[in-house]
Amino acid sequence: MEQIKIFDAEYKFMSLIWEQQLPISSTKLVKLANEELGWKKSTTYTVVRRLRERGVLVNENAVVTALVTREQVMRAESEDHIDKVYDGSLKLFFTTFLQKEKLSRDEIHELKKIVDSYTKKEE
Amino acid sequence: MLENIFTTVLNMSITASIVAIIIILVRAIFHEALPKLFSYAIWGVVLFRLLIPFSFSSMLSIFNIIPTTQILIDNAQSIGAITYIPNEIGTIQDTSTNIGNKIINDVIKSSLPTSLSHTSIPQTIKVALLVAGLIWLTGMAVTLAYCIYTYIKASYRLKIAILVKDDNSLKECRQNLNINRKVELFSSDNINTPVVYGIMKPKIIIPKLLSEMNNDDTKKYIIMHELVHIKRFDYLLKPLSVLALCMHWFNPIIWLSFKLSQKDMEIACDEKVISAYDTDIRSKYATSLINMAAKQNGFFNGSLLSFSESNLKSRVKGIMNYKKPVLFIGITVVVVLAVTAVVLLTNPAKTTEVFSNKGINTGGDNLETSTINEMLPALSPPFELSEAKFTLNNRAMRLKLIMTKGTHITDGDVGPYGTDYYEGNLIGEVYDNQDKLVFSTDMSKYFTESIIFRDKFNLLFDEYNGDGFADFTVGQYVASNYNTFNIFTINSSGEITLLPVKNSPDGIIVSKYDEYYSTKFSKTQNEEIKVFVYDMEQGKNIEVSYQWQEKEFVALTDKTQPVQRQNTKVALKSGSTVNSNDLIPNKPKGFKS
Repeated sequence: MEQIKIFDAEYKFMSLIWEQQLPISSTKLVKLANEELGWKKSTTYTVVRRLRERGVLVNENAVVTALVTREQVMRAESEDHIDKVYDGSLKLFFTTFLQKEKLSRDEIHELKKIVDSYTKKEE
Repeated sequence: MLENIFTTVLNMSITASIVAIIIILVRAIFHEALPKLFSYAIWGVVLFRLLIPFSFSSMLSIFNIIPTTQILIDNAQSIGAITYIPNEIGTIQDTSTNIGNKIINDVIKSSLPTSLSHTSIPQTIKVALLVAGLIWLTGMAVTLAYCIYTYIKASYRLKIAILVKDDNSLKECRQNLNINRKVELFSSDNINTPVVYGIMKPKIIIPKLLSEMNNDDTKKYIIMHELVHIKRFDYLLKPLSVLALCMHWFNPIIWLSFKLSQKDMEIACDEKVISAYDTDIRSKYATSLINMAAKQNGFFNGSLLSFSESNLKSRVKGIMNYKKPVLFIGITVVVVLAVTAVVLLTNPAKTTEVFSNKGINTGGDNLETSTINEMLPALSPPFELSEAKFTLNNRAMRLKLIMTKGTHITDGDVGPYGTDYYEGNLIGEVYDNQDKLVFSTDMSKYFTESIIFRDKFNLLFDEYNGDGFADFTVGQYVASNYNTFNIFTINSSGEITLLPVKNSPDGIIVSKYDEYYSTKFSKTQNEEIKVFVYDMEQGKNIEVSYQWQEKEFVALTDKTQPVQRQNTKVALKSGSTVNSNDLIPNKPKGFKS
């Protein structure tokens, strides 16, 4: 997946849109961005334009709709991170991750469930 | 036009470089003993010199010692511009052309108005200046384009920084420094050094990591540092300095000055931060800087336009060595700074007047003049001074003024005529439309002093005595602000005779004229000649009218004149002096020959 976003600020901006769960009018978005992020109107419009160029959202008739979900972005970012740092090796990522993190019982249980359902799909 | 702009920039560059070298020397000599605030402030003089081509004159100026010339722009306010390369501020460009063919040259010359430019620069130097000017302009455009490009590229990342609301550190620091202006704090994940962004409403943008550090004083000190920059308007000075650097891209001394001034700015800023606290925060502050620097990962570096944290070592050293100044020293520093600023910022007190070819002078108390070396177009003997067409009895005639006997002086004394001029007789030849010489008059007898011309000139005809015969004027320089013009007429046999002025054997004295050697007089409704003469007592030009009465022009008394007027001496070209009262025809006495 191509690079969706780089900047933390753009991610926070998208969060505002995702939290709406519905398409949001651009005027409302400007007001929201101003309240939450402290952005001027022109800044918000510039960001909308840049994200639209990258295919992240659309702006039709002054209504902004997200084209990607938060999960998709998180996935893309993680894949990108693993590619960069762990040379694309998921295994290496997990071993490193598990070495540092102390997981609770519930968390281990959850992970086990995910691996099981994945294994089932493969069969 | 471009040559003028370029020479102005060049002159500014040289002036600024002289100031910069002095500052660099002083900095080197005094080293640590020189308060950084002083160095930081005095660089402002260099910036001024780089951007503004003129300044006030003062006795204290260092340029009284350094040889320069100065063009007066406004005599009343003593504002002038220092020049090393002659500049044609206020002069008309020399419009003569040389195609190479004499006949065509003559045709062009007779149809174009010739300009009398006593400061005219020869064609080859003009061309060289034009080429150099183009190179300069290109260089400046390239540097400027690069700066603007990096700024725009950086600006998106800075614009999307997120506002940090209700930050206690910010509030505390603002109070500490007494800043009433509204300053907002932003946080960004794509910068690694703090930045002041914005021209109208400066914003402090800090790295995200820093905004999350609330446990130690690092954040507080960093914000203090940026606030000091804001308080001192450094965020405006920086782009101005960059602009000056682009204009003077060719001057390595200016590049050095830029680097040093930025360094001094940062250290002076650190000093202010430390002195803003009652306790000794030096080691804590230095540690904060090192912490910040350690977190650099080359992510983003708009060093030219942001406040980069380079020179870390010298900053830390400067911080640890800083001692709070005693009040007495503080005042001394301010006084020394003020004096130094005046010395470097002002222009020399001696004014050297440059002749504008319009000859309009609004000042004139300083009669000491010097000229810029000028080169005359070569005249071939007999020296042809002027040629013009006129009508006599409905026939087209031609008048030629020539110098048949005389000397071409090329190493004259420095004086109002410069080193290159022609001194001799004046012959007026009248030709008919078949180019046959009708009459030749020796006009020398009409001039009381030696006849001097520096250049060819345009003859200006008009009708002044109402007899229907064309009249023309021939002028001579008397003193700065004063020229005399004899009025001649040509009778039906082609003879040139003088139309005399009562009690003034040298003709009409004026301070305002078209060109040095011929002018057209304005006329009043009653067909009287109206001229302006500079009255030194009143410090302005006053209007004088002359009326043709039977056989001579008579000056009409100006009734608004105060009778008592201080009599000052005016130096004449011949070396003799005349009283100023005599120049204004209220009490006509004529010249002493």
